[in-house]
Amino acid sequence: MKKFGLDNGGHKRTPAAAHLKLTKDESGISIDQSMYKSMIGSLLYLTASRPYIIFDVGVCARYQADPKMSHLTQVKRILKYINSASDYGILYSSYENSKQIGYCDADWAGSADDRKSTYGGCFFLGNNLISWFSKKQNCVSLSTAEAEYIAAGSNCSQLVWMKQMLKEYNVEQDVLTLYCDNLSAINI
Amino acid sequence: MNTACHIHNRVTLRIGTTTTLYELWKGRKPTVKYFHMFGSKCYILFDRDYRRKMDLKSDEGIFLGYSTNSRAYRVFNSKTETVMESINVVIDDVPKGRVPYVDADVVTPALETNAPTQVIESEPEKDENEDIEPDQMSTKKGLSTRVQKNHPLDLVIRNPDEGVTTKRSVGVIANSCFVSKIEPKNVKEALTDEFWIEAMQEELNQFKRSEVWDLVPRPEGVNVIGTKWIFKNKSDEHGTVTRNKARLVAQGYTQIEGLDFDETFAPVARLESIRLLLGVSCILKFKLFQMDVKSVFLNGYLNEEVYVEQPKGFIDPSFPNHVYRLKKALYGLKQAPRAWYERLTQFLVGQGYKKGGTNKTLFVKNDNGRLMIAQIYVDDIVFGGMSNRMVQHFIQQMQFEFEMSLVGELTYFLGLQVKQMEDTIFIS
Repeated sequence: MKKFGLDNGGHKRTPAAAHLKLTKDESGISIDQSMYKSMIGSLLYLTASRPYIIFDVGVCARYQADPKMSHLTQVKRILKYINSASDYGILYSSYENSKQIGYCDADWAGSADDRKSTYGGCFFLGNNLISWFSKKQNCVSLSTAEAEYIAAGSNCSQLVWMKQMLKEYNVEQDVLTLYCDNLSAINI
Repeated sequence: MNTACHIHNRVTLRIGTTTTLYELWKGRKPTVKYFHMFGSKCYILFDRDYRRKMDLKSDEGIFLGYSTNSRAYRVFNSKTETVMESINVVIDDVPKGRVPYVDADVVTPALETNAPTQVIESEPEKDENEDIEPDQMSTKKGLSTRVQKNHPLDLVIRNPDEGVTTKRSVGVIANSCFVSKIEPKNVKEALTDEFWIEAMQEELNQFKRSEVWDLVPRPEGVNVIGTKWIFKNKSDEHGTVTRNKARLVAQGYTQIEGLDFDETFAPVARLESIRLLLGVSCILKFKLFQMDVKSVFLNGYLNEEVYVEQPKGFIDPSFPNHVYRLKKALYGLKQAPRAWYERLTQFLVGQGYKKGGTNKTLFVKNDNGRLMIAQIYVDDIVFGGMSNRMVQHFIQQMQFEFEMSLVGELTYFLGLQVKQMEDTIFIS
């Protein structure tokens, strides 16, 4: 997977800088689109077992149409991070309770280009991580509360899907818990 | 044997001339500078993997010969126990502690200077590659036995008393001497290579075994689909070729929707549902297994009438204008995955399994509260059950109905590496 040339060099401890904002960067230097796309493709494949890079890959994937140098450096940083974290994985263990729990969060106007928000979530069964996602919202939300609300809504649908699936394994769920981070809603 | 042929082509002189066989064939003088002694110890420099400064620089290996399609050497890596090709090899022709053997009959070192003239009888100019005709074969055999007679005993790999080991018993090592390294681009190319012909024959035999088609006269006004050979070298995790695989596919793109087929889909599962299965298997505490169906799509029965052309290179001489009517699906047909899914569903439902409501690729059998679960991903099946007996029963049934390969514990699925421990599962 990591045969994108010379990336057995540096190691990074995080996939991205904490407050990194990628933009369209229209004045930047253009780079080879197909290479960029193939990098993104490989990374997307890796997200199947690595939940920790899904947001960063998602952000980088938005610029596939016109990749610039700044985007490539970011993708390379993710690759370097994976390089150092290549032996990480997910541990599934048996646990007494098998409650279904979801966590979700959203950033408000996270995309500097079109002010749309990005939300994500992850879902546990007992203490086993089952699924995760990160997605840019389709509409522009006017407040953090709205962004979080949309996130909670779509996370619910995922939870219900999991519940249906579990029914087929004869594992019944009575209460589905979803934790979200919506301070303004509490204040309202 | 390849190596013997390789050397032979470069050093033996054609009778009555002063040209080597290689010169006749290629029109230029061969170089023997890179020749080394067969079976010598060598050191293979790591050039593929990531290596730190203080790590070992090379692996020990045994020199086996020359690559057929590049300048690389073919070596046996003693550490990983594989045959590989590499150009970064240092070969130690005269190992320490052994007097170099001086005898007219030791072929390899002697060859570097001059050629033995007694072996030329009637060799035709030959491709240096694999195809050796029977008569040549016998001369080769004579040659190699004569050489072995005077080999120093410690040069001989393996016990000479063991006799000739066959392809199967030695596994990968010998096997890689019996496969072609090249992937032909079309049938014409493949038909010149005996290994590929064998591979194609094998595919057709498989068709015969599972009664895929009948030869019928060409029908009127029906879309006859062309066929094509696909050639692929299968390699193991070290990148060495282990098998030549030829697959006959139908050119499904000539099929017309509504006329030749109506619905197409393949039974794939969402990754989430596979992880969910892993999670559930932990909670319910059962082990997961996987199996792989051989030539999956050849198992599906077709509802539609589909005709295909006879495969190129294997046309029946008595009925050259006939076509094959398919009874089962072929790779490349639009309806092949669907036909397979239907067949499997039918079979499993017949065995008392219930198809999942939200996840159509999940089959569950409930036997007095004890579950048996099978998750399908086209040709891969992940399954597990609460009782050992049910799992064994499932394996038996499946093996009886379909041709299976690779039945075992779940270790690698869709690019996910899965490690199963006592009561935990680790994926990465």
